[in-house]
Amino acid sequence: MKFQQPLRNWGGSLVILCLLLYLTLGANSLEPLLGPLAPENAPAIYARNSFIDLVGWHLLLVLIAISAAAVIAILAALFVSRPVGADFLPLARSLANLGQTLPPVAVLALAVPAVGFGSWPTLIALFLYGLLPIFENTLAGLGSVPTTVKDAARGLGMSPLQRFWQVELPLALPLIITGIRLSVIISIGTATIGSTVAAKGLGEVIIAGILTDNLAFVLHGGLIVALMAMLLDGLFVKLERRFATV
Amino acid sequence: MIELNNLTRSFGDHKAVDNLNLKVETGEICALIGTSGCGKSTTLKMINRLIEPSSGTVLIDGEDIRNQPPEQLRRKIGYAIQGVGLFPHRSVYENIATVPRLLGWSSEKIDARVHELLELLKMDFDSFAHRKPNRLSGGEQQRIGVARALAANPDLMLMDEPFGALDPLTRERLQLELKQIQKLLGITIILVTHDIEEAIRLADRIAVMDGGRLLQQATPEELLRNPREGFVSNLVGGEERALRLLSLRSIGDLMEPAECFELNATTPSIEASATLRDALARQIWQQSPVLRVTGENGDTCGAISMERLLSLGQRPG
Amino acid sequence: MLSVLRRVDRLGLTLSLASTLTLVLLPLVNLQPNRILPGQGVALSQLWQQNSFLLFLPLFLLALLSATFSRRLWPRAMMSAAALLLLIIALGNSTTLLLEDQPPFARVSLGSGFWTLLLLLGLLMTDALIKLQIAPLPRLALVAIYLSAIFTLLASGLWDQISLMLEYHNQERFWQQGGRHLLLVAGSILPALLIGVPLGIRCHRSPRVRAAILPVLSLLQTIPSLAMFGLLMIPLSLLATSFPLLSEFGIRGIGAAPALLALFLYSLLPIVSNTAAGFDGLDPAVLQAAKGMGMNQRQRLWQVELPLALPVMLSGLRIVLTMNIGLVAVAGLIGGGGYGTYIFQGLGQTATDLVLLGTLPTILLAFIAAMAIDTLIALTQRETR
Repeated sequence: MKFQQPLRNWGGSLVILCLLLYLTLGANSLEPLLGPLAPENAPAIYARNSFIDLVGWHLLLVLIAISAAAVIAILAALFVSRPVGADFLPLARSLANLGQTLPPVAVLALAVPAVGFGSWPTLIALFLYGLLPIFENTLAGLGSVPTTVKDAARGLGMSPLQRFWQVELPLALPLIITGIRLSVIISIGTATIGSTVAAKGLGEVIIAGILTDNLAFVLHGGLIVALMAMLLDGLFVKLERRFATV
Repeated sequence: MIELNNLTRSFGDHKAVDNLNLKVETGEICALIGTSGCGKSTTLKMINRLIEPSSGTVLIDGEDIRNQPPEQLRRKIGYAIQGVGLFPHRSVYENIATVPRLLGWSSEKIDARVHELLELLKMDFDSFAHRKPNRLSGGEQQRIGVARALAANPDLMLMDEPFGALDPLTRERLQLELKQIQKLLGITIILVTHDIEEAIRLADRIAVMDGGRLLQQATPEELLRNPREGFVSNLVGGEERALRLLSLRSIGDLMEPAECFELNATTPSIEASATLRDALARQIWQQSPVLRVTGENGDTCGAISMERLLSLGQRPG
Repeated sequence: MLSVLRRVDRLGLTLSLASTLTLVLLPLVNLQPNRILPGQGVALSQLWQQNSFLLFLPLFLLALLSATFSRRLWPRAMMSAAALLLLIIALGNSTTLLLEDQPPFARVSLGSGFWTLLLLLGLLMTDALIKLQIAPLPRLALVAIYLSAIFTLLASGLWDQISLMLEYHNQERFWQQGGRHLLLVAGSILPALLIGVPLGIRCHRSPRVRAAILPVLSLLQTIPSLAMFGLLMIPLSLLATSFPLLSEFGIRGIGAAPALLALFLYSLLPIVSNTAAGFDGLDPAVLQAAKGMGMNQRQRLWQVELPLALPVMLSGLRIVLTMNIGLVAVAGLIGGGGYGTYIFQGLGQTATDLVLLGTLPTILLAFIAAMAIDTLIALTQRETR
């Protein structure tokens, strides 16, 4: 069942984008608005890094991690759904299920002892955690292709490769995109927490605000991250609809 | 006696049931038949107040059904539907016990009743009572559905295409069983169906509906002999009517004396309880214009000839 | 030779090769000069002659061989389980020896080899357990028994020389933090259930309510947790400064209040949408039969609709439980308490063992919650079979 969500249509996305641009590019003009929230003698606008840089870093982390995760997860799902990988299927399926009960913050925390502080542990955590929803949804998508359709494709004389590219993949695509959307949304959140392990990103604004009791920072950073997540969520939902067959 | 008086139900501008009048005598099976969307299910649901009429009344034994709260009314009327609607989380026993429990029967009384009903439906208590519905075949589920509807000794049972989802063989067997049970208990049944064979096989009275209106109500025989032009005569079929007419009567009522024919040891035989249609089929199959008719004990009690069948099935008028 | 190769379990072979490489190449433990500084890896080559390892190694080999060549599942599961227990004992025994000529602040911490082996042996066990297809309750019991065996080993003081356990003994409030963690989880989910279930039923019955509620809830779900905590801090702290009395009751910008509120808001979507989906999925014939037999609305709800929708509703609860156990850990960052406190303290001090002391129980809680709900779901589904 589909219901139109006000913030997932083009108009909504445009409004969010404008707000986002204003909060990022026009950060300094927000001073009078945010001023009352900052403690006395403290700045109302975070200045250690420019907001454009922070947004850029944040998105870059998510982009790299999720691109890699998508490639690996889709290939892995393909592998276990073919006869060659059948031995791995039961374990892989329940791992994906069990793995998603792992809190993202735990994955992040465990990455630090493994690779040290900085952007690396965040990147690894985003990548690892991003694998699971994409893997699970790709499997579900491939599994949702009706046997009758697959049999028909075989009966028409399509080769395995043709069946995959022309039948299975297009039908599984909406669910795969759903998986990527979930991973992206979770990653934006985890990348925010990543600032506690010194990853560059918008989390450092919020955390600086929490540490210095500066609500102006918290509000500013929180709004940008929240709007960014909403914007990407909306764009991916549109992508899903674009590829939906029904 | 059930009386539907000027019953109308509109959904918006659409009249699903339009000024319908129908009387069903106590102890009868009445079939409401028509294509889907003709208003037959809506009519049925107005009898147990699953749907309230826009206007008109329903009387059961002279009493307006609106005089009692819908839940209490429904507990007194058996209800069996297509898809059965057994509660999947409850055992066969608990499913049958649903209405008795709602009525607050004692557990001994319920226990006795469940035993009785399973016996009536030829199902072994020990092997069925504690199974979950999903462990039953379609036919078994439908039997339990009927048992559940009969649980609280209703005088009236409403059935909405109860055998619609079954394979032809199972369907026919259940139809026969239902007819036996109905005779045994003397209850009134109002049955919705789109299957004219089912209506002819089961009903004492058939009410044909189309577009929310009642087109004709008659006994099966009369309906086959004198269908109204148009929808009804299409429904009962053109030439196939002859076969359906034959299927209404049993050989025993219409056979000829055995002495009229030269029967020998090779003459095929048929039981007196079979229908005329069965007789014709056997004559064709065995290439024999005459059949020996046997009684319950296997003795010859008469004969039936193809000539006789031809005249019995001929076009009226 | 070929026929042997064909009988090989590919998964078992992969995991066995990985385990062997791990054991040979990666350090099982690290010898650290003190709590913070990184240490020197100690690999199997320096440990294997010890008695306890002589017990572990043959069993480990047996476990790998049976995982690769045998299709019999019980031996596979039992041997990898036993191998892990023996590894734990062997490591515990070897610490005393390793620390013999070391300065007093030196510590033995668990190395990457141990963690990787834990993961790989865990995978072998999980795989066997899935393929055995044990009924849900006995499966939960097996896991519980195995976990308590491990905890008994740890409680016996066997690992008291290992830095993780040293850290545990340093933290006097470990169990209180656990209690607080669970309290925050329960405190956010209970109100969410009380409001979310009726709301879900409303959504099922009225498309208009659904169209109004679900988009808002799923929008809330997209907001990253830290941003949500931060955004909620602002109104709460403004409230607290305007009405100082409120802060007496813990309603402040920092601490448990914004965490509870955020968790409550996050919990609504899975509960509401799964309740609605559970009710949407009910067989119309069943509902019509219930109504036709004279059940009133309350009887239908309690005797038919809720029991049948329960499995789908429970899978919503599973999502919420595991999600909130993780989110409470994030709340440690804004002073909400719970195991997150250790995680962020540990990250701040670069004390790996403190991070682990916060992370491992969080993961364990989430796993146990997920398994418990899975068992419940399987049991309620079996009801209808």
